[in-house]
Amino acid sequence: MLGGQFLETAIWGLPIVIYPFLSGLMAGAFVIDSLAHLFGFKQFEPVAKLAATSSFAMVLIAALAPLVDSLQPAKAPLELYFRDHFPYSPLSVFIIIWTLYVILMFFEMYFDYRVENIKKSKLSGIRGSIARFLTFGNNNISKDSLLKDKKALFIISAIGVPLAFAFHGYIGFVFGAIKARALWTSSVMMLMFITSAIVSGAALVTLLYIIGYSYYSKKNVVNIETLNALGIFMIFAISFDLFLDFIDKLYSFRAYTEADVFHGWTLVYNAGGVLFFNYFVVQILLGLIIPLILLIFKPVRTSKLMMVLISILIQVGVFAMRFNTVIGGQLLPKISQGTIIPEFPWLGFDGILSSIGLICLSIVIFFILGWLFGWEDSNKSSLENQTNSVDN
Amino acid sequence: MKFSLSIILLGGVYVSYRSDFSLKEANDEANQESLSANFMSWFVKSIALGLGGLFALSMFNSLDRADAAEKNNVDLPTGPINNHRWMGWENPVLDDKDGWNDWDKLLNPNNLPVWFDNFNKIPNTKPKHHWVMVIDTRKCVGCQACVIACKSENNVPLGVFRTVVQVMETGSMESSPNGMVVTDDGNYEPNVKKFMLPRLCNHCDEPPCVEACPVKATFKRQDGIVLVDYEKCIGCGTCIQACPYNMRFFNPVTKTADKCTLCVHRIDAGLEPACVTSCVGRARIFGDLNDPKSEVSRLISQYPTARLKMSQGTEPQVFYIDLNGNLEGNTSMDKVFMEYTYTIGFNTTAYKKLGGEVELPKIEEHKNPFKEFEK
Repeated sequence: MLGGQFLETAIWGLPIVIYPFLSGLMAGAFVIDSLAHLFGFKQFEPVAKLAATSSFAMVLIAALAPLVDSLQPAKAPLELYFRDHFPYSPLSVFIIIWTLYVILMFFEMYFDYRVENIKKSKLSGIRGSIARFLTFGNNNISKDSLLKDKKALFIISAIGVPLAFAFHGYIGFVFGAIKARALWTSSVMMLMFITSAIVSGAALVTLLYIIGYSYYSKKNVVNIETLNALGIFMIFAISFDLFLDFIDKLYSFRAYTEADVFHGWTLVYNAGGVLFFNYFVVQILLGLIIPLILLIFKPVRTSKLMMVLISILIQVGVFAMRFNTVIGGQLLPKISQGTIIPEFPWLGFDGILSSIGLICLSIVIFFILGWLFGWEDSNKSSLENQTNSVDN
Repeated sequence: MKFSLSIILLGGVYVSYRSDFSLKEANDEANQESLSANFMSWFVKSIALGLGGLFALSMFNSLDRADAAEKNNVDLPTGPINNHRWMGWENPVLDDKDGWNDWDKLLNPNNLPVWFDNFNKIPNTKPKHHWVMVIDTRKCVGCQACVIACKSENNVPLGVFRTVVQVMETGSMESSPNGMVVTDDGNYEPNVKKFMLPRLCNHCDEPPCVEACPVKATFKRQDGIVLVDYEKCIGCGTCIQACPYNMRFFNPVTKTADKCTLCVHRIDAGLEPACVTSCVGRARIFGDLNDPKSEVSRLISQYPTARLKMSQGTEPQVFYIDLNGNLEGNTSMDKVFMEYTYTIGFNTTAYKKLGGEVELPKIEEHKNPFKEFEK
């Protein structure tokens, strides 16, 4: 990237593509979590803990991605926290929202897994000692304390949903607020990011739910009602996402918009453009329309294999959306002609390998958190047995 | 000083570590089975140790650097043969010795007030100067002398530019029976005109790049100059995205954002910027807009001037006389860049269409180009 800069280059590379992708997964997963805790949908209760754990794993890595792309990441934490340009810079407000969200997720994880940690704390070895630490000395599992947990999770979700929306909406704002880039500056950008985040988060939870509960769970099986509910939720999210994409396309015609936006669409997204296949085929057709059509049928929503396929398609589509937005917006030059040819080296800080590494790291952290806290829903019957045994 | 401080700190951490041990033993004697409390103490200890270690490491690191600088002052030989890093065909290695790290002295020696936002309040402070540039495009011949002057004055690394002069052609080839260009389809005659557009940082009155910076590394001085503090910049690239004129770039040597400083070191010394002094046709005129008798004030009042991309609302402070408005945008169809300038952008599709091969010249780092001559 630094070697070949002449007049114009795509200076934000692949890590900045990973950044909204991971934080979208995080925001979407938290929405699924809040559907159970805040809005009281019983069907989503089996995936609530899974959603919380994956959300926590993604939020830790999401902030790492822009640091990977910045040239002086060692300076960044200190400067970002102590020289904050609060009212104007989108990135600096982002770091405040990120910090608040991480603190909130600590509370969420504590109340979500308190009972399980108390259970685990009887084990010996390092796992037991970690669980003992994570209980913070509170070994009470009476029914009152369980109700208190529920209440705390309700309050945390009530704070967390706006915060998760703000978190991901702000990433949309980072792009939407840059008026120099004709393809980025848009008031719908924030909303588009939030909607596609919800779509991708639901798909991620579905994927982890089916694979995890089918192959790696000892006590749980995949609940068909939950799968169906996730499918219906995805239908609404995808419809809204398609509606926003339609608005975006509508405002790209020559009659309705300014020259830069129109030329940008002609050069980048429309037929004959650089990212035509990536936009219309991968993002819209494969990522949104085909899953939407499939999800309408109930046999598809209750089939494990089809839901896995649909989740993967949606993930690919949402990744293409991030790529098209971040890289595609930079392909329209500011002062030179034609479109810019982006470079994606294999090695280097903004290379393909480091981007793959970021995604892998988020998966690894998900496994670590799953090992530390847990990811499965503890059955209600077993929970009652537990309380009885402790009372006795 | 730093060494002793770090020793004291390490000692303090060690003592607290030991005292925690004694606490733990006391607990064991009292048979208090507060295992979680023990674990808590372990946790706190490990955090304290880690933080202390990090702090000590940073202290030692700075100590080493100071030592190295002292040694360099004494030992490092100077001269072209020994100091091969500055010979011009490779990127200079900037360090303390070159005087490039005294950014406070270099960027704002008179301690003028600086702004990070609310730029409309700058005129209320009654600034002494307001530096602007007028570019008379009628006089520009596209010789690129200003580009070279800027590069050598400011030590701009290879591959990036603080100012460019775009050389463009407008018009088209028209078919005529006696045309000079002979093709299979017939004879053609060029009906074209050349247009030069010198570009530099516009030092906007409402700079979007300053407002986009998350760490307040870039600022606007009271006299209107927009600058980057290279010690605070984290290289996130947001300001580069936010500049509508594409006049910011990543400096491959300092690994920060970089831009035209309007030769702030020369202005503070009472000189004109390097590009202005080197301009052969006096196409670039620099001066103080607050002084009604200055040349720029008189030019702006006498001639109709235009500024680039006024629709962005950035209030650019570089005024162009006889600017062809069709050529300022990126997507105007009637402009063709001349192939021989770098301003075409080698990594664009337009270069490919004109028949250019996209082979980016690679900058090789010669560690010591004089090695063969020394023998």
